[in-house]
Amino acid sequence: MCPGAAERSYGLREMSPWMKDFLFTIRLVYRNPLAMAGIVIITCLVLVAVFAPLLAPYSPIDISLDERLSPPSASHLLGTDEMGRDILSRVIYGARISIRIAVTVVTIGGAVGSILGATAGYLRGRMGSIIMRVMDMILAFPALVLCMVLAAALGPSLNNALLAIAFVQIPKYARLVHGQALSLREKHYVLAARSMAASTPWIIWHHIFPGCLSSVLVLATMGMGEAILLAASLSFIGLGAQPPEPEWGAMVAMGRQYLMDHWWLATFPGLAILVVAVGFNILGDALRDILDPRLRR
Amino acid sequence: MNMVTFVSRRLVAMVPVLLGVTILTFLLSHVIPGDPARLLVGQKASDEVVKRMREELGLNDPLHIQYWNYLKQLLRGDLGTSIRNRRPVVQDLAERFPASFELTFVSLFICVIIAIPLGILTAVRRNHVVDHVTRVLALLGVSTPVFWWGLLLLLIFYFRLGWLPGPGRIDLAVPPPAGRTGLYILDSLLSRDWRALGSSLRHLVLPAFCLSYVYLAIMTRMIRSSMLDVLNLDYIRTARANGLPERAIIFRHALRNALVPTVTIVGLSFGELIGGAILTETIFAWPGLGSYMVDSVLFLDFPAIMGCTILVCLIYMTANLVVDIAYGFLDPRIRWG
Repeated sequence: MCPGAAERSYGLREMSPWMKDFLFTIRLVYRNPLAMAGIVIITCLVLVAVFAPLLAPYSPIDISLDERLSPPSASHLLGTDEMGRDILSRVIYGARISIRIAVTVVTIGGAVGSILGATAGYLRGRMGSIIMRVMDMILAFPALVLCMVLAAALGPSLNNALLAIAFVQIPKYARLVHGQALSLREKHYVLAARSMAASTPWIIWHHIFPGCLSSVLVLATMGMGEAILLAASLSFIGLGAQPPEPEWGAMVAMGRQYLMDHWWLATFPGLAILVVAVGFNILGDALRDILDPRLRR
Repeated sequence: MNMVTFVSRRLVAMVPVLLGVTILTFLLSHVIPGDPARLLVGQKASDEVVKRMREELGLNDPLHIQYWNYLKQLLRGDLGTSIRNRRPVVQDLAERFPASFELTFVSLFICVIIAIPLGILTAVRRNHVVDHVTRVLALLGVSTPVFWWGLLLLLIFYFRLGWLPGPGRIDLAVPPPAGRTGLYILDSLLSRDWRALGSSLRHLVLPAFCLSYVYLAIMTRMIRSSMLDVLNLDYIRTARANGLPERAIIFRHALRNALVPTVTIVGLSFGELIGGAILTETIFAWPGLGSYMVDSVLFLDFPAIMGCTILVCLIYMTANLVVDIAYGFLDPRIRWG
């Protein structure tokens, strides 16, 4: 037997508590119809985004003026827009932008927020309270208002809108992780690690983060739905994606001008936003129930 | 702790946050691309004029001095001059505020009168058809893009069916009611101007419905879940065991305790109502703060954006303060604790 094998098998049998918890969670998700429905919608979104060039019957940006504003028909299932572009193709390509929005916002907002929250909760003291007061300040703004101001200051573009939305989401994660870090730091295993002179970043990474993972996951899932709605709102106002990008909110904004006689322009992209947001929200809802310690086991 | 101390402590706690808000808006106005002096005097002005304008605006002073001056200006109630229309921002905001207040107040009112009974009903009749239907509606409510929903309402009820009037607060042919509040409904009631009342009420239906829909969904679910929490408590079982009629149990014993967490949530999601109002006002060309803000943002009219932001934050924080106070009233433990 090679050295270390005994150790390894020991490690497997005595899985770390959060690993065990994680596997248990996956089993619960699998059994929850609502969670599965959410997963199905999100999987569809990802597949549509990945295979957009195969699925889309037309180019999302090529202009064909003699077909402009044609109603839904066999050749254009969802009709065409004011430039004669196929709306179905644009909605399909829009899935890529939605995923970009969801992933960027949650990664930046979640990472920065969790690090700030964990640091503030673990260190406490003056540093911690300064961080949390700044978070309170950001929370004093209604989300859309701060997003608008930031996006305007940075200049209208999708990337700037995403930065603005990510910034606004930071305090949510910070607050959540802060609360949990405060109780985790008193746990015996954290004390033990500290007594062995483990560095602060090491403890935060190995002991604080894993303990917050499940609730951050719930927030991130719901945050993705929210990010998509906010990004669409900003694009609708004119502060997000710029034409001819096939972003759903921007498409609704464009369709607004033709609403009276050409309802399909605004209706279908909006429907896409709705479906995707529903997907993230039901998954987030189900995850919250699954991960709620009061309802568990 | 009595009520006065409670309220004044809350007020004092607002000060640092409000200062933070002003710092943030101040810093933001300094990172904008472009020179505010140049924006103010126009692109064609000579460099000499721009230089003089910079001097006049104090843009050459160190940042902390500029902030101090800005703060002094704010305390005097001076929010600067709009670049777009060269009017004092305060004046613009004062003109726009009543429209927004009317819209959000009516929407909130609709929410409360529907959400509370519906929340109770769904909690008492758990897993009944009504419960499932509201669950679906609530899910759709939080997932619907407000701007799209508003467009659909316009499309159906204005363009297609023609049942309700389109954008604006009142028909163009109807003169706005005389009055000082700027709230059309109140003004027309006070001046007995029934024509204006009818027109403004009809104009209010779609925007208010658009805005309340999202909020209504969240509120109903919140009331349901806090009602359920309370209904499972021991004292409710005791009340049942004592043979109290179900109605008395629900309305006299359960509801009051269930309202405490609900009130907090209502306050916390007030921000969503403001965000929703911005989009709703844009769709329905409602001449309120939200559409003013969108116009200013698109024009990069920074004095107007800053003024609007500070006012909206102040409203938001006041709403949360009111909620805290209501919380203290509903739950004595918080007041005395």
